[in-house]
Amino acid sequence: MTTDAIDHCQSAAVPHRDAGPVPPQYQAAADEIEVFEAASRRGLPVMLKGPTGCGKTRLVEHMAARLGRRLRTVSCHEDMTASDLLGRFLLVGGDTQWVDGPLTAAARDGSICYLDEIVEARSDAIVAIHSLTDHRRELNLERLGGESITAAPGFQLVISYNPGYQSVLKDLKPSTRQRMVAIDLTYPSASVEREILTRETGLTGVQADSLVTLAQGLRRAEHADLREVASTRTLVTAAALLQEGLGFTAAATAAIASPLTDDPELHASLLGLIGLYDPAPGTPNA
Amino acid sequence: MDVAGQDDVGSPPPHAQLVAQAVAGRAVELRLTRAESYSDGWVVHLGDATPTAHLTWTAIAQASLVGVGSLDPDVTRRLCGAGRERQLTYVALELRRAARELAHVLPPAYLRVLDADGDDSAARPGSATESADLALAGRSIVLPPSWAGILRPRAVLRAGGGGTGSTHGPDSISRPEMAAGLSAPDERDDQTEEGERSRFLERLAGPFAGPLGTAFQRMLGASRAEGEGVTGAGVTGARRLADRPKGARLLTSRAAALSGAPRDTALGERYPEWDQGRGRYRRGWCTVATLDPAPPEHGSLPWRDDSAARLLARRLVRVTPARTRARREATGADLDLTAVVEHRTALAAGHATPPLLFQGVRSTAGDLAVLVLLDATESATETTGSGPGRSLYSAHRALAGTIAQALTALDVPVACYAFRSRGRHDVRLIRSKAFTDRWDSSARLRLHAVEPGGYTRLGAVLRHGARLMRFDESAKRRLVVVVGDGVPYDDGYEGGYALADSRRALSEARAAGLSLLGLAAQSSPALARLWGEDHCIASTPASLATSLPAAMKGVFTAAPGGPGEPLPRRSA
Repeated sequence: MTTDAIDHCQSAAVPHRDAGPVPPQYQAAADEIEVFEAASRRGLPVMLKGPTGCGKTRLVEHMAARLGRRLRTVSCHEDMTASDLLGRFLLVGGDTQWVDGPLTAAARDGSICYLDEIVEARSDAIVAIHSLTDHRRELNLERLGGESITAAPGFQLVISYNPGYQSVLKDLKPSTRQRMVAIDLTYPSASVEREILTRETGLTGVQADSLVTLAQGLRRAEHADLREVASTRTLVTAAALLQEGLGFTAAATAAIASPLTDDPELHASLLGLIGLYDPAPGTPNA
Repeated sequence: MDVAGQDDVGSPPPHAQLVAQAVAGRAVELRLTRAESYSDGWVVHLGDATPTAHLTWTAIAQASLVGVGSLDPDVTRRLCGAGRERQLTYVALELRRAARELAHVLPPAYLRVLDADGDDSAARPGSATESADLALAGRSIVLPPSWAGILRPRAVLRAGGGGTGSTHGPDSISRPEMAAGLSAPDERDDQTEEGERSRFLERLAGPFAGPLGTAFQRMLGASRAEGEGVTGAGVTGARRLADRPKGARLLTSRAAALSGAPRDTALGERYPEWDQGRGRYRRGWCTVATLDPAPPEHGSLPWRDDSAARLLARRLVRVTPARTRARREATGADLDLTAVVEHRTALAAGHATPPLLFQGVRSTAGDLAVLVLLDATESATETTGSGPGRSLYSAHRALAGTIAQALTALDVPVACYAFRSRGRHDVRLIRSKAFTDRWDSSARLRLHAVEPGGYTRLGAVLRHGARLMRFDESAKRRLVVVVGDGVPYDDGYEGGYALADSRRALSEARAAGLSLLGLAAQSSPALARLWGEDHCIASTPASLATSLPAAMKGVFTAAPGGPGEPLPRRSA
């Protein structure tokens, strides 16, 4: 159990993207990069708001590479406790040993800590970030006998939050929100999205146009059950499948319709809709 | 149109509504109409003379008008009384404008079909106002494709605002409830909705004739069930009234007509009924069946508002705490430091204690299961007065749906059934959501397929409901919520007798460990008579959040076998 626990802690802390030769691509829709940079220079925490698959994580990776900082990503979930962020005691041999969590580690070494989908975490976990996110920029570890860590220069907290998916039990408290610099992200416009498809997968032409039109239409539908309809991410996946030789309907069904819903009514509607947008209906798969 | 063969009243394909919403940029309903296709900005009425293959294009065309603001009342008003040709010219110009402005969301296939029709006009108006100017100037007539539908300015004005911008239509429940799936034909543009409906119903009261009548015949099955009318809320053909007992109303639901066995065959579970006069049970007196509603002709659901359910779920979390902290566990995510210290101390003193050194958080969502029973009987067709045409039933139905949705969000097992009866042999529970179902659009469709009718044999319903609750006997707390006006009444089941049997059934259920709660949209003495204090009032789904959690807490803390008739020593 103990070795597992150490592994678990470390794996939560680890995913760091060293900037490869090419920094992760990000296509700006508005001034999000400038705002992020300005906040970063001041050490202000940033809150990325937007639906899933619209580029929040990609933006963070891009900025981390651009700013030359290490990035620690934590995927928040509802079993996450404050200990998962701050650190915990583990039994090593016969002794208890303290292991830093990703937030503490980032505060110590001045890297970016990215809490993805922070509303999934419970409120007692979220409150752990408060002291780091205001003028104090310090972390209090009560369990360590009240040790106080001042965040190293370069430390920045980034959180992502999906305002459209308002889970019943979870919401960000105003006291957390007002500590943040917020950047609103949304799905890109048709032309930008078209460029993204081409850049990510190489898909062009009428198939790319049809995919983008389909997505734009689905988003307008504002169907209560299609919350995160046709995100840019699913579009890119569909485009990739098309590049692999699948037909339009097959690719769109596999990447967009089927993952989106299990509801048979809705699934049938989506299939019909895809058929309407298919540039070459009736063409079998390649 | 050939009614006996294949080309009968078509339904739009299932995706038509989705693409209409995508094009319109907001929620739109699709309904079939006997007249020509048109839209009022909220509902797209599809004319049943349109070949099925074109219905999707019609839906898209009309939705595109909504999407670019062609149905803005200020512009549409100018076209009232302008004459058909000018109205159609407006439609044609606006369809083209919509095709230009919504090119990024319109299906390419639709644009091809529209182009194939040809563009006679050189004009390219940049706004609805310009199109209206051109149309009213009357210099040239341009016709839209035959399948595209027409403009009904007065319908748009009546609906109150078909412009773009707002995403929530008027409460769909408050729209006059038509016979399911079909809207009334109107021959004159300035008819009121009431006038339309009564004319429509007149037509139906007579012998079945014409495509509409045949459609109804088809919906009701091969033969019309005895004594059942085909209309909406309660209006019937005159000839049957004489056969009915005083005060009785006909069963009007298509759901009831289609689902379940014919009335003289009793299928289902047998339950006793308490005869207060004689002080004993009548064994096997009632027959209760659990049935499915007939699927509606096309799935057009009212717009869903999640906010009430979300609000309720938040409040319910406190009644059903989902997590507890468990200390001194053998495994867990965190060390229980107190336990570690004690363990070490004990070891140092020479005792070995089991290494229960961890703490974790356990989900206790398995604590609760809820059955929602919705009274779907005639007494619930009165209006609440809180909105035009808003019946008590539709308010209760909204409450039931909100509870089901909120509990589903909390992962609490919940089931939802509507109920009604016609005599003791024909008591029906009509499934919207069984415990094993999910709360998805099918469940909501089933809930909305049930229209009120019949009577309330509450005792039998409660006993059957208690049996359904055996699904989840692991749940520590099992709750039955009965949404209705609390008035038991049926054939041979009324007054003090009915009340006594209903209260008896409540006691039996409580003795079996269930908690029961009444819920209604408005207060009445009947509720207090039946439930005592175990009921709550919520006039809208949003007010559930304030009243329901406290009421639930109240019935949970009451001892089992609470207020009600004392049980005999031996149950019959």
